[in-house]
Amino acid sequence: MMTDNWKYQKLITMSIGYILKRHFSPMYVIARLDRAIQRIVVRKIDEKSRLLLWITRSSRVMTSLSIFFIIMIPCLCSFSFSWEPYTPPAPIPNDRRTFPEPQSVKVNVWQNAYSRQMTQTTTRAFDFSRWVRAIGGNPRQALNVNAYDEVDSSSWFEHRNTAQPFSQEDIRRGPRTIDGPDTSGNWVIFKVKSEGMAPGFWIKDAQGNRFIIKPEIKGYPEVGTSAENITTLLFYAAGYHTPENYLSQVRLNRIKIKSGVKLIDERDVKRLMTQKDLEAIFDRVHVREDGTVRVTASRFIKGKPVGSFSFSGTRKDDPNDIVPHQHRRELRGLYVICSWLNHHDLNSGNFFESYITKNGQSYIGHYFLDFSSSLGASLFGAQPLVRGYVPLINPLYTFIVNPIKNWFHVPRWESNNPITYPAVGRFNNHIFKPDKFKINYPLAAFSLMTDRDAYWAAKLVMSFTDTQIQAVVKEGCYTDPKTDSILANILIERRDIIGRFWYNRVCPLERFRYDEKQSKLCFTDMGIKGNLYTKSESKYQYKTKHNGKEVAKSMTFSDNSCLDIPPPKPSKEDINEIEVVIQTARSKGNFSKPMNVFIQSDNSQAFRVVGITR
Amino acid sequence: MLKNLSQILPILTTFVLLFGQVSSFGNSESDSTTKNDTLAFPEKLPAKDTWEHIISAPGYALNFPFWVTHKLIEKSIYFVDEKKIVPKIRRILVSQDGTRVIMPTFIERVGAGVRVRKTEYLGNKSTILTGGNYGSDHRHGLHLHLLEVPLYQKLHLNFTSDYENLVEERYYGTGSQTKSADISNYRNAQIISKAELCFGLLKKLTLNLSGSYNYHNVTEGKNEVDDDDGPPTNIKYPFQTIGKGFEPHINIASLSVGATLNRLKPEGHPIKGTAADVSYALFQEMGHGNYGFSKTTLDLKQYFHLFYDRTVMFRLNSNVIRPLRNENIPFFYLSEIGETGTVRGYKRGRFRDRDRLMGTIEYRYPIWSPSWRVIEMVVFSDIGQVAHNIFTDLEAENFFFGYGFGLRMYTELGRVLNFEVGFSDERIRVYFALN
Repeated sequence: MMTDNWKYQKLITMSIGYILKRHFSPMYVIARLDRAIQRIVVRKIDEKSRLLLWITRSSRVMTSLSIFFIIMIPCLCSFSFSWEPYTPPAPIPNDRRTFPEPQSVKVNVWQNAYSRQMTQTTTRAFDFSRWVRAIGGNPRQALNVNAYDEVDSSSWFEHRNTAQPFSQEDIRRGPRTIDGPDTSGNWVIFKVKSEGMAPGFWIKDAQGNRFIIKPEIKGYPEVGTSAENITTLLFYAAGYHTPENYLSQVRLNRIKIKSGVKLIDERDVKRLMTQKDLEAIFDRVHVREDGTVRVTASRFIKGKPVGSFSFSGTRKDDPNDIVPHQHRRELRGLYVICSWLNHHDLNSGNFFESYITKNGQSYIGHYFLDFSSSLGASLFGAQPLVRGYVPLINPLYTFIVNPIKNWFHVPRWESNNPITYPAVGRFNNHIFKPDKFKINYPLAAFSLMTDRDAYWAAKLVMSFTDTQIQAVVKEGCYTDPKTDSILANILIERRDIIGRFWYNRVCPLERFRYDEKQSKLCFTDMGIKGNLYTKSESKYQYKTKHNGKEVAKSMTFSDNSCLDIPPPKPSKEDINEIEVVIQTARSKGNFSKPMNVFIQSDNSQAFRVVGITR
Repeated sequence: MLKNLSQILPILTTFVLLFGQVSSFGNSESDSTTKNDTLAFPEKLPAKDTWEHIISAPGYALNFPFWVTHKLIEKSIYFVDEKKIVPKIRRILVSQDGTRVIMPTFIERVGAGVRVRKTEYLGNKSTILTGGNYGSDHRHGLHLHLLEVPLYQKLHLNFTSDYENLVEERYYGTGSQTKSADISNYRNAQIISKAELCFGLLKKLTLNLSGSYNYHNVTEGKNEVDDDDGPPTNIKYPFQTIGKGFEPHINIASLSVGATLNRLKPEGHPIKGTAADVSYALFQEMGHGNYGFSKTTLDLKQYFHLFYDRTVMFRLNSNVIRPLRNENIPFFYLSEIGETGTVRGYKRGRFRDRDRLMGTIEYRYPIWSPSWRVIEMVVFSDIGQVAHNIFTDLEAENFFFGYGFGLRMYTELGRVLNFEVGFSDERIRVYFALN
């Protein structure tokens, strides 16, 4: 993951800027290179070879210039020697527009895992532009952000709890549109997954709704099914698309087989399913004292399944899909959401695309599935120790780092990671570090996540109030009421850990309003809003520029969320701009990385905030 | 032509860099307005800027061989998974009820092969193991083991029969002062059949009484060493003078009593507990009576669980071999340092004498545990000595010392893969064993 070490970046850019201004103006550099090469070459080549000398000298100069530009262009690009007014980034077009139905794409889970772990990781290691950007402290930022460093709603993401906080009823309902599968009638199995450790069925209830059901495994009640339900609701409220998941209880005698249903048996032979096969599967499920079995029923997603999406590149046959997925903020920021919920099982089988029709438009919707391995749970009890802390397979770590490191070092996940509570599984916050979370296989989008992306996602996490979290946890339907409070407390504490960590990596100020009459620029400090810090322990430092020229020196203030910014006098420029550079500090800590707020007027209109940069 | 190209290329590069940047930075706003206004779908955004592609070009070139390799592996994974090759192989190797397993094996002395394991064959715990191995120079082996065949209550029978044709055994002389270059080879075709009655005295303590028939046919070897030892070796010990035991058709019978203590937890992959094996055996040549000797063996292992899957193991091993009356001891029955399980880092059969005393310390720690310990790293150190009589002839300067590291892979069945590198003052030796 790239991180913006802003102090380091500032030091480098200041040094380079000074050197560039003083000694390395392009003409001066060309002249110096030319003289240097001439001195070297003239010694070696006699007077008769003037033409050769000229050619050699020219080529050398051009080579030197090429190298110079290759090294300096990233720096030059981040520098502007003359002032230009702020221009907001180009908006990303609506990606929910009709296009012809695409072909379904099949992604092999294991091939995808290898590609992510080995092929893509190696390719990224050899990507020198990333190294250049990392050295320059200028990581590639997400492409689908607007002037306020936000993403617009799309087929990937919708602002939900951040736009309008959900009521308790709304957050508990989540994506659900019905009351769940109808348990008054029979469930008819029309497809079955009998192989593997966890059985699953495709059923149709008496109402004709279709679900994929996953029963609890014998000996592991509640852990996986509750986690799946809770994580689904939190993912949905955060803004991502999920299926409608329901917790349901059914008697086994209500489950019937549709004639002609086939299964693949232990011998890998496809044959008709019999009642005996069903009983064999039922032997592996957990039956409650009242004779029912609790299942997660996942309602079929509307539309036509068209495959799985990737976290890098774009889908070729989707003309709406124009932003490379690794540069989508909602996918980069998903890392923070996953770290909060300890959702590490991001294999390609859990990403789903459906060609849906909504509001008269037919397009591809992107969904996240299968959250049973989250919150410290799995279908088979508590998660193994390593989950969330170590990638599943990483040859570099397994065969080079670990043999050296694990000699007498015991990782925190091994030494201090007990099972929290039987129904919760292994879900702790005392060893949780927001930037050290690991998913099973690396994702390109996560590896490119910047502090700005993480801050954006941390805002999603921080948008959940204590009461919302407690309400969602109740949807886990734990038998032991103590489990609710334990899990809710862990989620709340992890939320705050995430907030403190990522909010400190940038200047966490939002919702800037400029009042020209009162000459005030007001903002919301997300740290204070999230109850992470108090007003008294927060202080701010700012300076202002008018059309690129500094007009007010650095000023520090605290206990206030408005700055005095008097509007400048009209200028000759087409656009009149005030740029406020602002930083935040907490208690005795250092000031954060600065952010810039741009207030513009075209001399005919009032001044207004047109954008921010971090 | 090439020279011209090399001169033009930097100029082009500069232009591309400059104008590529300008265009990519400049077109964003104008493009966006047209994109919004028109009903046509916009173009896909580039994942990288032009300058990024140019800077990364050398990296792409360097990565190309890796990329091709990875893509081939990806295709292979796709093929294997889509064609369900793994389940198909598994169906061939493992029976439906899981009691029959066919495993590939590799044993250093006899090469690669297969082993068939069938459990619950003649009783609940009984196991039948059979298989064969084949290696270079026609070395080979055949094995048949019937283990834990219940007889009566706590009494059970083990029957093992192994045939091995060892074509390249080494003899460096007897004693601890032999030189590495003084080598000769011999071939030993042997059959060792053993029947053992075991009585479970206590839960973890077993008394053993066994009888065996051993057949050896020792002949000339290739008299050359084809490993990495370098130039041809000195033949200090011609075959005629190798020592007692260099002769065809030796038939030896033995009778042994012993006790085994197994308090390892868990058994296949111990992290704590004790394992001890004490035995006394009498060997007598059948027919001629040239060879007769006794062998007393003590093998003691103690595992300590240090912390969080870190285990240390101490081992003490001793062999005491004495001739009976005035009879001889075949040289290949002498105690060895250099065989697997002794001081690692020395050549096989490097030191031989009647008695042996050796100790091992091993430290194991996990390096890959997706859900439980699967791959462990092991760091070890061995020390040992062969002597004519360990009670009187042990000398501090004659101890041999080896150390090294290795990887071990475990499954539910126990250790399935062992890879070790041993270092000694003579050489580095790699050990590999599968199943």
